Order: sequence, then C-alpha cells, then structure tokens
Amino acid sequence: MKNKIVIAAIFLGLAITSIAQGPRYAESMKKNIETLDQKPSIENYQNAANNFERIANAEKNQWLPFYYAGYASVMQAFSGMEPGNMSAALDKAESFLNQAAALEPDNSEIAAVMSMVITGRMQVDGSQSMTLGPKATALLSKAMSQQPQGNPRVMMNLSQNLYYTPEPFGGSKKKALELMEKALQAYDTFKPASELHPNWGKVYIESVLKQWKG
Amino acid sequence: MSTYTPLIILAMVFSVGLHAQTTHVSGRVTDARKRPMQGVSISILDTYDGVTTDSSGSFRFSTTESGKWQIVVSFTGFKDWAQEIELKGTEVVVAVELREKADELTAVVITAGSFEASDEKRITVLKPLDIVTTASANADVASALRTLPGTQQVGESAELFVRGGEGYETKQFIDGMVVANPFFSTSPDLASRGRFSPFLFKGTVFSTGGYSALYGQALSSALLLESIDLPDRSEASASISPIFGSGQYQHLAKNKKSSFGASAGYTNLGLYFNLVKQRPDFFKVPEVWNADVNFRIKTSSTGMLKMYAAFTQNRIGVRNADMDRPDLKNAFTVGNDNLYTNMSYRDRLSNRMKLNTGISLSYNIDDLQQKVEDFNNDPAAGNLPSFIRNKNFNLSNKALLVQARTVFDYKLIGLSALRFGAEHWYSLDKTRFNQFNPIALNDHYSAVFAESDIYLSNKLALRTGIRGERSTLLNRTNIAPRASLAYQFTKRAQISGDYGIYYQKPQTQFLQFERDLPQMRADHYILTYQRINTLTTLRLQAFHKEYKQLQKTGLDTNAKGSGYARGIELFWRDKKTLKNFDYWVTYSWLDTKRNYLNFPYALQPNFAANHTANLVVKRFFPKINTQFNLNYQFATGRPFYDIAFDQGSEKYFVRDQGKTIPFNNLSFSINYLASIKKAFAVVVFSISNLTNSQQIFGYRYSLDGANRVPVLPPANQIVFAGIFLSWGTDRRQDAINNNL
Repeated sequence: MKNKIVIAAIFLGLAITSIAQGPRYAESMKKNIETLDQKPSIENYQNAANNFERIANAEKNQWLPFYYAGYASVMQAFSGMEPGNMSAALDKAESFLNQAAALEPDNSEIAAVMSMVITGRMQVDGSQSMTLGPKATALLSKAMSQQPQGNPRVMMNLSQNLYYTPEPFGGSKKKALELMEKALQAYDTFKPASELHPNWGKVYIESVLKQWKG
Repeated sequence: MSTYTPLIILAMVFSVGLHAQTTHVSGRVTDARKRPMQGVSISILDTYDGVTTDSSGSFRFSTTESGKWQIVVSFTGFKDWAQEIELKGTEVVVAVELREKADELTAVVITAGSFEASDEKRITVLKPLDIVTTASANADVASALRTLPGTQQVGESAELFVRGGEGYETKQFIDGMVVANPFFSTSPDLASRGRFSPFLFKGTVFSTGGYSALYGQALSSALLLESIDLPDRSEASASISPIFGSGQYQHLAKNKKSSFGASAGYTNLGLYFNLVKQRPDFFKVPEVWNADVNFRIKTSSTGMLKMYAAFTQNRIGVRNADMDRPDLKNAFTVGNDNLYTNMSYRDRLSNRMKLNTGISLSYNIDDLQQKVEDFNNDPAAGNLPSFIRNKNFNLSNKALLVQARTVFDYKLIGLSALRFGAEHWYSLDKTRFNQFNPIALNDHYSAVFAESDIYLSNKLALRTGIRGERSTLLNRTNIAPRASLAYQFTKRAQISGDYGIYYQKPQTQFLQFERDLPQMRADHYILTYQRINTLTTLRLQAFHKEYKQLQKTGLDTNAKGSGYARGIELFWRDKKTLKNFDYWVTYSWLDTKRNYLNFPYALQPNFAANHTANLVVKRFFPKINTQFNLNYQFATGRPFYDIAFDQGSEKYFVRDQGKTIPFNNLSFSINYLASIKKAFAVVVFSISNLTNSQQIFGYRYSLDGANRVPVLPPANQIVFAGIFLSWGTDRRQDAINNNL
C-alpha cells in the first residue's frame, strides 16, 4: 500500500512537471526564434546560439534547439568574422547540426543549414571549393529528395550553389534564378510542421532575387 | 522505502519548482590572464535559465528555480566550468576563470617538422590538390614535393634526395606499408616517374627528418601516403593525351557502404619523341602498361577495410655514345614488371583504442641489359679490350617483399596518446649477373615500436618513441630512440625540437658480396619554428644530421663510411594577400660532406647543391575557369668528381673535379575546366624550362679520365597536353532539373 502511494506521488510529480515543461519549451523556443534574426551581429548570434544550446541541453530529445543553435552559429560565422574565428564558429555549428541529425536523421532542414557550413568553409579557404562544392551540392540534392514537395531553404541554398559554381562544374546562373523564384513561391504552399519548425528565409530570398535581377 | 527516497526528492524538487521564487545569479568570466571574456554561455544545468556574458565579461540573470543546482559556464576552446549553487531568493555571485581546453585545432603540434597535405585536417601546409596543380610536377607526387624545402633538384633521378641524403634514404609508405619500388625502373641518368597516381591518396605526410618511431628503414625521410576511403559517388573517368590513354571506373554501392573499382592504361612516348627531338637514341621508346583493382568496405561505423592491387610493366631501350671509344655505342635495355598489393583494416576497438593493421606484397622483376655496338648499331665485333667487352652484360633481379603490420593507438587523457605495434618484413632478392650463379638474399626483418604523446599542457607536448629492429640477414639488432618536444608560445606560433636515431639496411648490391655489415645509421637534430594562420604559413627549420656506418668500397666493402649534413630551411605560403592568388616560396641552405663508396676523403656528394630555392604560384581566374600555375626552381651548381684508382698505392684519388652550372627551371601549366557533353573535363597543358636554359646534372668520365661527358636531360623542355574526363553517375543534376 505504502509503495502504491509513493508511486502515485511520483507520477503526480512527474505529470505536474511535464505539464509545466511543455508550454515552457514552446514559449522559450518561440521567444528565441522571434528574436533570432532581428539584429544580425556576431554578439546577438552568439547569444542566440547560447540560448538554444541551453534549451537543447535541457531537452535532450528535441532536435529543434540543436538545429537553431547550429543555424545561429552559421549566421554568426557569416556576420563578418575573421577567417580563424569563422572556422571555429563553423565547427561549433557543425557539431550542433550533427547532434540535431542524430535525433532527426535525413531531415532536409538540417541538410540545408549544413550546406551553409560548407559554403562558409569555402569562404575561409577558396582553394577548397573544388572538393567542397560538390559535397554541398550532393547534400542538397539528397535533401531535395527527402522533402519532395519543396523545402524553400533547400532550394535557396541549392540555387546559391548553382549561382556561384563555375559552369563547367555544373553551375548555371539561369537555372539558379529559376530555382530561387521557385523557392520564393514555395513559401505559399510550405507549411511548417509547427510554429517552432523552421520557416525563415523569405525576406532573404526576396533581397537576393532583387540583387540578381537588378 | 529507502529505494524511493531519491525519486521522492526528485518529485519534490519539481513540485517546489511550481512555487515561483526568483533568484538573481550574477558574476564575471575571465580567462587565465584575467582578461574579460565576451559571448560565454552561463546556464543552470537541465534548465533553460542562463545568459551570455557582455563585453566586460559580466552577466546577470534571474531564475525561478530553487534549491541546489549546477551552474555551468562554457565557451568554445575552453574547459567547461561548473559549480553547485543554492537558489533561495538571495543573489548568487560567482567569479569564473576559464582555462583553455586541449584540442587538436589549438594545441601545440608535435609533428610541425613535416609537410602534410590533407582535406580532413583543416590546418595543413598543403592540400591534396596542390600536388596535382603544381606546374613542374605533371601529377607526380615526388616532383610536387620537390618544391618543398629540404629537397634537392636532382634532374637525372625521380627519387627524393632529402637534406644531404641519397635518393634511397627516402622511403614511401602506403597506409603504413612500405613500397619497395615506388618508381618505374629506368636506365642510369634518366629520370622516371612514380608508379602511383596522386589521385589514389587523400592524405600525404612528407617528413624531411625526425619522423615517428612507427616507421623505419629510411635514413633521411619518410613519405606517408594515406589511400582514399569510399569515393563520394560512382564515377567513370578517362585520360587522353598524345602520350597516354587510360580509363577508370569506380562504383559506389547504393547503401554507400562499399565500393570497387578498376583502371587500365597505356603510355607510349613514341609519338612525342617524333615531335620533340631527344638527345639519346631511344631505340625502344619508353612504354608503360598499367592496371589496378581496388575495393573498400565500411565494415562498421568506424571500421574500414581496403584492398588495392596494381600491376605495372615498363620497357625502355636507350643508346648513348661509349665514353671510352668514340666509334662505339652502348645500348641499354630496361624491362620491368611490378606487382604491388596492399590490404589494410582499421577500426575503433573501444572508446580509447584504435587498431590499424595491414599486409602488403610486392614483387618486382628487373631485366637490364647493355650491349656494346658499333656505329651501325650492330654488336661490336673485333678485338676489343676486356674493359670494353665487360660492358656487355645481362642483369636480372627478382625481388619479393611481404609485410605485415599492426599498430594500436590508445588514447590517454586529453590529447595524450600511446601508440605501439610491430611489423615483420620478409624479403627475397635474387640477382643473376651474366652467366654467373644467381645470388639470393633472404631476410626476416622485424620491428617493435612504441611511442607516447604526452601533452603536459595545451602549450607543451613531449613525444618519446623507441623502435627495436632485427634483421636475420645482418644478424644484428638495433635500438632507435626518437624524441620531440614542442612548445607553443602564442596561439599561432610554436617551436619544436626533434631528435632521433634512424637505421637502414645496406643496399642490396653491397649485401650480395658482404653480409657482415651493420645497418647504416643517421642521427637527426632538428629545430623548427612555425607560425600558421588560416591563410598564411611560415616555417623556419635548422637541422644537423650525422651519418655513421655508411658503405665504403675499395678492395673490400666495409661500413666505415661517415658523413654529416646541416642546413637552414624556409617555407612561406600566402593565400591571403591577393584574392584567388596563392604562392609559396622556399629556400634551403645545405652543407654536407660524406666519406663513403670510393671517396678518398670526405666530399660534398654530387647530388647536393648548397642553395636551393623554389617559387610556386597558383592563380585561378573564375571568369574563364582557368588556373595558371607557375613554378621557378633554382639550385646552385652541384660538384662532380673523377675518382680513379691508383694501382701503385692501391688507393682511390680525385683525378678531376668541378662544379656544374646553376640549375634553373621555370615551369608553367594551365588547367582549364570545361564541360563536354555530360562529362566534366580538365584540359591540362604544361611546359617545363620555359626559358630554355641549359641544364647540366653532372659529368661522367672515361676510364682514363681523358674524356668528360655532361649528364643532360633527354630534351631541354618537356611539353605535355592532356585531357581528363569524368562522368559522375549520381543524380545531382536531375534533382535540380526535376524542380524546375
């Protein structure tokens, strides 16, 4: 009898805590996602990466906090860092994304951000483009097949890859433009699985298209 | 009851969490030198609560948790800092000092003295592609390495002459296994090429001295080649050029866990020699047949099994004027068949233990023949003196080498590690000279080795190694200690010192006549300064090398030869200053003398130049998809000697000597990238010695010393044009097209 009470007490305790954690996870994530790209700077992205890392460490079964920590670290690398620091930020991003991928294998969103890590590495050392470029393309092509209805972020990255790849290597500015427009249209039909799932990039795509057509 | 106590406490802790009570946590984070750290993450473990430090290293945040919690402070490149704090409504203040973490990217490098080309490790001096795109190299591994400091420009040989060492003092290893005949066989004074394509390797480590105890039997230098694992995709490729044609297919299994491949090729310099006149008379133009097969299997997430087997066959026939009799010629024929196989397996046995093991087998047949001919290229007849008649010879050599090797790598704390293992080489060498009975040499060579890398801190590391070797043929055991100490005084700059004793068995031609010889020995002392940034590398090295127990030839063969080499070397690479522009400069100063072979006293050997310099420039023009590569090599003149035997005193003496003109070589190559139909194509054009300057590698003397003939390259310039095509068989483009 005593045992049953104890067990009941435990379940009650756990139930209360899980109810308490549930909305808290969503709230914290939502708050951090909203402020993520508001003021793009090295410091703010570091801050965001730290916040998501904290959530990730507390919620070890959720891939989204790791994903966003990875995304924030990549964006930090692209915020005007010097090459040495940029490499370190990309390493960190890669490790977050690997943790996300371990929880959520074959996810096209993770692949999209991972391709940005590779792009960053090519920026650090241009002489590696010949070996890394095809790796990024292969990753994104696989991501395309993982989400056949069209993930705008995968299309956007693939398009940028096409744009900056020399034609003999399979690059094409024309195809890139078509694909980028396709990516923009995809936002009309793309429905993220929840409000916490990735849904960024529309504003960026619009600015890129303006520049390419400009 | 007691078994549930922790759970009840847990439940209580969670319930208490519901009664919101706010505690502020604040503090400041600095590094070991008390400098504030910005961007550091502060968190209460297993909660969302935490914050990031500002530019003064300060932080403050609030939490509604209460009770005892772990506060964790973390930052990239630093060890996590943790402390238990109690949250009960009153402000908690912590002072944090973070210590740097030992990690491969920031820690001192023990092997700073070697040149590494790898895509996997980020900070390396070279990338694998550099080997292919160096202007003077024409995709030959050893030629590309000849642009690095410590190497000599020895145009009459394909071998690597490192820091006053002979060509045979550099050994090549593929996945840890020695390569017995890395170069195609050739006639004297005619350079050949390496047998293995640089595209087979994902990583190259070129150590110009002071290398690890894991390797042996190389007095001067070790070239460690690591073969590629699974390819990225299935691919068919072809190379077409006026001098060769080859085809290759690599198949990657659908599950990406295994691959197999095969290639075949044929090279014939006939057409080229018709267009570009060669100095010697090639009555049999150089011809090469080659074929190889490979498979690779990923046996687990950490295991990899690889097999590679290559068969090559080459033939050359070359005719030169006889040195002693202007009315005669020497016709030299080379026939070479070579089989090389290598099977390696590596896996992680536990969290700390890694295994690397392999076996290799190589079998090489050389048939060398020289005939004295008259001016009509018929066998010389008539009453010829014996020293001319003796120039007619047949030499056939069959050499088998089987090697087995196992290395364990045990990870200690941090970056510290212990490596140990053993290897066994069985060699059988059978030589037949003219009609004489063949001489067979049979050796079981075994070695055991152990090496420890101890990181005393992130900045100071010590490597000590020991290698024990025994050869049954020599009936001798040798112990070779090695040690390196490296100290990092800023994040980018470090100094290191290396010491080691290196042994190598005497060359076969000596062992055939005298087996009671010790191993040759070289002692290395090296000091290295290195400053390496993401896009620039500076390296300065000073070395001293002592040679002992070298072969002395005379009336008998003994091991009383000795010598030394010392020098200073510089390497500077810069990818930063100009966009799309990459260059490196090297300079080597070498002072070396040795008393070996028939030298009457210590002399600077004829393969050693005092000053050697290199400039390698690469520039990619993205708009025209073309890379231009330029390479200028310079070396001061090399000494040459006429060493003759005095019958009266029964001693060798230097009858004549001199120095060659300096060596100049400006090479240029263009790689143009294009797509032809569905293939990706690289069109390569290269030309050596652009300025057409005269190159003299040394002189040969007639027996009486009256006639002196320069050793020259077969032609002043080498021109190459070829096209490399590859067809990927993945569906990369389809994925894009389907979405348009």
